[in-house]
Amino acid sequence: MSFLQRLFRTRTKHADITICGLDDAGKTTILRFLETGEFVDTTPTMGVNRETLHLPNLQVNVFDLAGQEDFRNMWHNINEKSDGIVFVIDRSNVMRFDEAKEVFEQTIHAQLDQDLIILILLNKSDEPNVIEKSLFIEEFNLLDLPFKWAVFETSAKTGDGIFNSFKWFVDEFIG
Amino acid sequence: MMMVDLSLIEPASFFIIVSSVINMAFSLALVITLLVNFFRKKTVGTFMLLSSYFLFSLTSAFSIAYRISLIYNEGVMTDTIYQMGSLTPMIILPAFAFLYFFGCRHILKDNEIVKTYLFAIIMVIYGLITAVIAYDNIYTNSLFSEPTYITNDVFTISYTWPILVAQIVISIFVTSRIGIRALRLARKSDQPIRKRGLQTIGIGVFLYLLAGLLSAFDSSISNLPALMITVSAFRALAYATAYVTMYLGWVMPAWYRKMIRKKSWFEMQYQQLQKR
Repeated sequence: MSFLQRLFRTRTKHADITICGLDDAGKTTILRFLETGEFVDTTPTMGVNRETLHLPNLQVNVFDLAGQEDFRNMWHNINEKSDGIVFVIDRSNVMRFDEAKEVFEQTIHAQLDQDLIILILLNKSDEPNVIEKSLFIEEFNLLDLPFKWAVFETSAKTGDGIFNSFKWFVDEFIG
Repeated sequence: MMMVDLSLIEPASFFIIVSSVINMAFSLALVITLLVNFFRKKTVGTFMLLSSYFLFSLTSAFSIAYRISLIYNEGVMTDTIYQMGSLTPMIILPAFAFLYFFGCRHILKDNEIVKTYLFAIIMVIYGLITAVIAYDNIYTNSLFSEPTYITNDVFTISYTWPILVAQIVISIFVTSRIGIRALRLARKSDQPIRKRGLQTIGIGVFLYLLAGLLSAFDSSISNLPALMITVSAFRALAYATAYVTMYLGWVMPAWYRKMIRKKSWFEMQYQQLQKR
């Protein structure tokens, strides 16, 4: 690398990540928790919420996408450009697992970037009757995924698992 | 080509022209940033704001061209210079109309009936002013060079005053409403970026209004050079500050947002962990 290139090289990396998942999974609540450190009651997202995290040597642009069926067609436009995906699942809502699995597979199969990092959050862990992590991994065939991935149990109400999950994600980007 | 002996120009004129050119540069910079913003967002709102400030900027350009042409012609008022001077009031009212409609989209909460009536009133005044200026340009050429007109009665009236008053009333009405509403919304807002943005817009709009009022004032004290220079200096300062403030408020560049925004919970936690 030439001297000038080294001189003007930006030390801060940039990463675009999207938060996907069914409606009412808790995507925006997680985003607000990252921002404020506390539970914030939110209304359904119409479109996209954006938040930027300025970390040492890394700037992360987080796009929180609306989960309603009508908005899902827009996802691929944003997902195509993203470096990582956070997929949020309401682990207490067994009735919508099949739908969540279908949407998850659609999202993953649409990805072209083989270096994509996927963070799966089993949200609403504070609620009773939730699916077990091991069972979820099996149900969603995560072991066959050709990407780097991790599953974390979280609760955007209590904050459990939120920091650790995103820390893993950020560390993966920083490398 | 006729050359002007610069030594004949009074220092006061130099001062006013230089300060006007600096203001023009500030307003042009604002228009360019709004243009970039428009191409990025491509919304009706950004177009209205751009149109409004483009017209404001055009009035400054005409005003400078008017003054320079007058000096170049050694004070002799030609038809072209005269018409250049008379264009300003015709441009400024549509600029305020655009600003009002932009305000209605994002800050003011006027309903359709109020909007329609206000727009109609502004346009009627605009029509009257245009008619007076057109009549004057065609027949009398006395609107600006000879501001008074002696009627058959004993009263001496001026065309310029009603035009000036109409401009002042409309500018105060539009800008003060946007300014007050922006400051009120800022007080209610919990989000720091939105709060500071609205505060900046409110302050910028009031500074612009102040600068406009000082402009109107300094044109009425041309027989008192010392006072005129002082007022012009304050006016130039108010315009420059208003343009910078409005740029920060309307455009909200990334560095300004970053400055306002506090660190998020995750950023603080992550950085604390790094320090350990």
